[in-house]
Amino acid sequence: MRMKRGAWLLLVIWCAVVVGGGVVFSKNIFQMTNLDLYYLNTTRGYVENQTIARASYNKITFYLNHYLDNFFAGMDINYFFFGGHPREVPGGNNDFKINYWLIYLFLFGVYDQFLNRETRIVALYFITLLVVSWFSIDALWFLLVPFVYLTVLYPIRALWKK
Amino acid sequence: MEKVILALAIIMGIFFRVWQIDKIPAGLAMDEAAFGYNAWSIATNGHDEYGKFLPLSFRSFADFKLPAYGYLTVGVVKFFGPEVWQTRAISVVAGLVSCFLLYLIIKRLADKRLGIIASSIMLWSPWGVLFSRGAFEGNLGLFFLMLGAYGLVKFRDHPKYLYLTAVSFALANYSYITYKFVGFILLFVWLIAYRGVHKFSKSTLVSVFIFLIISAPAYLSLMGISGNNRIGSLLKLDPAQTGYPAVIQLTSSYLTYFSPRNLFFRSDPVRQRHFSDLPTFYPWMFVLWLAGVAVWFKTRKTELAKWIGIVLIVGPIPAAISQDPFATLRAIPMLPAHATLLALGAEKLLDAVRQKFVKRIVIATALVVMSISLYSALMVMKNGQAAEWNGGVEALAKKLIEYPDRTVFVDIPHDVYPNLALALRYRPEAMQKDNADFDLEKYYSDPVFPETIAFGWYKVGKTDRSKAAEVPGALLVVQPENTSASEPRERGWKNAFEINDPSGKPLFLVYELN
Repeated sequence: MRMKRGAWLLLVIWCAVVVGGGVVFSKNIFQMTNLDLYYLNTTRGYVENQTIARASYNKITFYLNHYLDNFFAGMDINYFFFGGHPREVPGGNNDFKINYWLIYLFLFGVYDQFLNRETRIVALYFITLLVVSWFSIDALWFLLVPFVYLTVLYPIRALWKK
Repeated sequence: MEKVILALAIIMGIFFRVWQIDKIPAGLAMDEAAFGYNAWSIATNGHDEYGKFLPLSFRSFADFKLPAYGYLTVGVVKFFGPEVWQTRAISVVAGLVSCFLLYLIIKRLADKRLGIIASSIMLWSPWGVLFSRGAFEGNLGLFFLMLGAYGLVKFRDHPKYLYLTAVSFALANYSYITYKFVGFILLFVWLIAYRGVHKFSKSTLVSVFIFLIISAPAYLSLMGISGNNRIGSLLKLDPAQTGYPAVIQLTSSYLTYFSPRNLFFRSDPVRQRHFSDLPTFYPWMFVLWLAGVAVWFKTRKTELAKWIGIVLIVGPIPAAISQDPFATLRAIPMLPAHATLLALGAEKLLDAVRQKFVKRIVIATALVVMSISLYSALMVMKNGQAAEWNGGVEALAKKLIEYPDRTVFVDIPHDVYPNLALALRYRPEAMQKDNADFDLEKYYSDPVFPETIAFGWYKVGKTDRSKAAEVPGALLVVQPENTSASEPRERGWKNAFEINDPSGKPLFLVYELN
């Protein structure tokens, strides 16, 4: 897929906006509390071979885990439609970001995009998520919501065209 | 070179499933211990712990465990004794054979290479390794399901393979409650989906008949109290209770089984169902999954894609209607399909690499990374998750034997009694004698499980500590979280001994009460 220069520029500006949002509204993945450090050292202590322990549990794996925590939250449909309710997380609280009845349109939208080989919305969602994951998705989830709504609207737009 | 890497992958994969099987997980889950003890009991005189002769389901904690795992363990326990690895042996073998069956299925549906990749992924997956290392009846059920699925794919070659399917799916019904639904639905969905491929004949009807005949007692038991007890503990869809419309609950619950977050990052929240810091598949496999989904979608009309689709759609249905979020044990029928999806992605990505040595380096790196992750997770399970697996009960029993003829009040959850009985090698005949008061007429119908279980000198469960102190020479076993530091001093208890986990954290405190 070849992109025009203007599109590249828009993408760079969008990423800058996301990074700016992260800096202003959110903590980043590199923050480590004393409790985190204690957990890391305790877990490392359980592994009998200390070389493997250090390879498995260190600051890099800790940051990576934080990054992946954000990234995979953004890959979870339930995060937007049923986020954290007790069916998903034991004892979790209802945290609906988008009306849960829209899930069916969303699923159809994803399928429709797959069928039509439409990759723009998915690509933009991924790029935004990859940037947001450096910060905290719980603080910046609203930056991803437009793409979810675009997916919801995608099949409707196609129907409209017909 | 490829063969060396492949042999290494298989040997190491098997190694991680059997290594220190008696120590990792550190202890026995209550269900494992119940299977072990009842198997020992049946092996001794054909009666279970309550004195019921060859029961159709094990009453156990009034949860009426399905019989297949218990009965298959009887032989192992009979020859090798009632210890930890013997209790887990059937699950280990079932897990390994399931991987081989996946290879055979994929070889038949696609090709040998994809079969090897898929079965290797299943062999190495933390999902498969975890449930293979414990005495999980769901893992045995998966084996029967895979055997049945193998019969279905070979059905095209010879109609008689459908008999294998019918018997296997029926036996799966006696392994784990999930399969009472999955096997049935899979069989019919499969036959409908492949109506153009298979030639239906007399053997088709005979197979369905065999399936129904063998399964009938299993389905009928669902209508009794034993079945209701199990199903009642699973289904909770009442909107008044949960605050959400049932259809939304089901949708969200069903989708959790396809969420990359659950598959590649977050583990099953239930204790004894997860490795610490290791999800069902390794996080880096997400890349394979994405590629796999793309390939699957592109080839969705092929027989292999249909197989993956059917298993993925049907697999999580029983798990989705249960109240637990992302219940990996109930959703284990999905494991082979997810592994195949990952294999499709892996094959596609490997094909994209042209140089042979780069391919070898990629595969070798993947093996090293998986080995490090699995080794670390197993170590954490051994040394840090002992409390989750009733670890320390074996050591507790060894110490308690040093206090003969003393009444022991074990003030910990009552369902740990089979662990203690097994660790004490408390003879099944004696246990049956202790349970002589139980009315065997109500074996399958009494849903009540007492709060305290008494056998020999041991009383396990809720304890009135003041009354216990009145028993001469009594000992009290408590968990550190269930007593305060000042209680022993205030009540005048004497410290007898304590049992610690491998990291030195106390698991059980034992006091002499007078």
